[in-house]
Amino acid sequence: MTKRLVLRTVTVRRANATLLDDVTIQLHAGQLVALVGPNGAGKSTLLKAIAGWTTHSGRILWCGKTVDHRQVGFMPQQCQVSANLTVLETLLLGRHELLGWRVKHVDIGAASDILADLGLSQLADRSMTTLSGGQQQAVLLGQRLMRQPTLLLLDEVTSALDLRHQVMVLDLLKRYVARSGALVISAMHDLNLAARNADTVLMMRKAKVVAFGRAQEVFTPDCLRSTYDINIERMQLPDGTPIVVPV
Amino acid sequence: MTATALSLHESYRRAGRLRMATLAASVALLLVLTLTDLVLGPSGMTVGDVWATLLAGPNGADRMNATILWQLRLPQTLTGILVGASLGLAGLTMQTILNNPLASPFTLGFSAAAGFGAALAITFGGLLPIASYLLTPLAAFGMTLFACGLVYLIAMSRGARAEILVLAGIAVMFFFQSLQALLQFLATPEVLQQIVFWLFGSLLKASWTSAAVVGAVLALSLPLLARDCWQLTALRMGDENAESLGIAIERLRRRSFVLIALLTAAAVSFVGTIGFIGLIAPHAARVLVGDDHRLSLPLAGVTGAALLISASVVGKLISPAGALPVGIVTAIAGVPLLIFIIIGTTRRYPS
Repeated sequence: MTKRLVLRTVTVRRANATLLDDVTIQLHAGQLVALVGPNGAGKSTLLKAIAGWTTHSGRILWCGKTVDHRQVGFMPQQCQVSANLTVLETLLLGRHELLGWRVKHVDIGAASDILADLGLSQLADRSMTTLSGGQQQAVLLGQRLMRQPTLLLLDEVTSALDLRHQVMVLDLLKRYVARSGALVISAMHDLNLAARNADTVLMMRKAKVVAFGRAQEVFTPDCLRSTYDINIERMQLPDGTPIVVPV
Repeated sequence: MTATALSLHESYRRAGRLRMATLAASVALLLVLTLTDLVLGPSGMTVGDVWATLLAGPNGADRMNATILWQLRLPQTLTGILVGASLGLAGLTMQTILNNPLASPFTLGFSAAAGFGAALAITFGGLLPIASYLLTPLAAFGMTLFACGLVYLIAMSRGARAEILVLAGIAVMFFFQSLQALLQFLATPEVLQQIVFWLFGSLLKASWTSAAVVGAVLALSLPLLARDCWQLTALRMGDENAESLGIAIERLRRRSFVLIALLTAAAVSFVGTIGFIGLIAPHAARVLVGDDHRLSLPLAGVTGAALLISASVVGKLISPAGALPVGIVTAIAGVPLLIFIIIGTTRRYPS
């Protein structure tokens, strides 16, 4: 059985609102998927449904089986940490099931590698409470990576990051996909970041998936206009990557 | 392994050693306080006398000193240490599971319930064929667990969310406070005096029995809390974060809640309510070693014990006969200490 995530007629209803409307998609493992769309389109709900955080109708299968929570690394939107823990301690908590009374060399080594990948090595001894929102987000992403998930679901992980750390985080995610063969789904608002980095783009609007495919195919002026209700100019980099600018 | 990993490893171990040293220092401080508490008293024993009597055992040659130390002072001091440790541990766990720095073992109405149980036993105890020195703690213990059950039932029906727990606890607290006030209103002056004396929280009520019971509950709870150390630490990062790390936060809250109830019930049922220790000790522990519960839990216990024994020492210095209840000392001294800690921590970490 090839590794893939299958969603079949997945619907989420709360009170009298439909948050996710009859979503059917297939995503194979080993790629970085960008989940885009306007606010309230259902991106977070889709991620929560896959992570098993919200009840839904329809079926969600990972590698042919119901999603096993131990394989999932889910990072909800806007995680704020006010705990008096250092960055290193926070990363180690990603493996809390495996940590014994005395923390082992391997676990500190793994944390050290991830911190280096994220460009945060110099923050290892800093308290989480002294970090900026973006730095905290990056650390919490590292914490998920400590668990080596095969299915990584990220809700706006790059939204609070500066340009350098956006690039570092996305490079890290791409390397993680290449090395582990995981499926990474990341909700993001920056379409150009999505176009440059994602293998596949999943576009949502009003609780439905409206477009699905490579950025060149999805980011057509018509599609963008109908999704975001604004006029958008599309340009192109020499390598064919689209750049979209609102006009 | 890379060079940065090695240096990171080294700095992590160094921070760990520093924290262990902090813990060791607070244990040493507790020992000094314990000895001071044993020496202070109306009989005028010197440090040498106390030490010799301790070494001679309960059947030592000096009958007078042996009786004073082994029958009166030692059970009181020991109960004080165990009660303080229980309140400190329960307080830290409570603040962690409620994610609220103002929570204490008494937040959810446990002390009000214990007070009502004791008042009930003092008022109507004469009708039952049980000695009052057993009935009162038993009633306080039972009523605390009953209050815990009430909060549990109300809160757990809504998924053990922290806000619901606090709301249910406040409701239960007002309920038992009114019942207790009603008993006090109806009581005769003699009974009223007994009730008020019980509520003050004093080590004079302690005995070897109280030390054994509080010690047994503490010994039972410690390994269970130790097993959840990492999960409790992760819970400090917020519900959503902890949940996404695969922690069943609802179940973690439930079992921690039961342990807090047991620790608090045992701590208050013999000596009465002693406020502020369960609130201050956790703050002190976190300021000193951070949120790693492997260290902050034991340190909260040691700090709680040290605070209670300090209160006892201060009480004995003010009134050598030991008539000044520790509950009053901790309440008066606790307020400036709490404000000092809050101001100190907020200056360091502006929100």
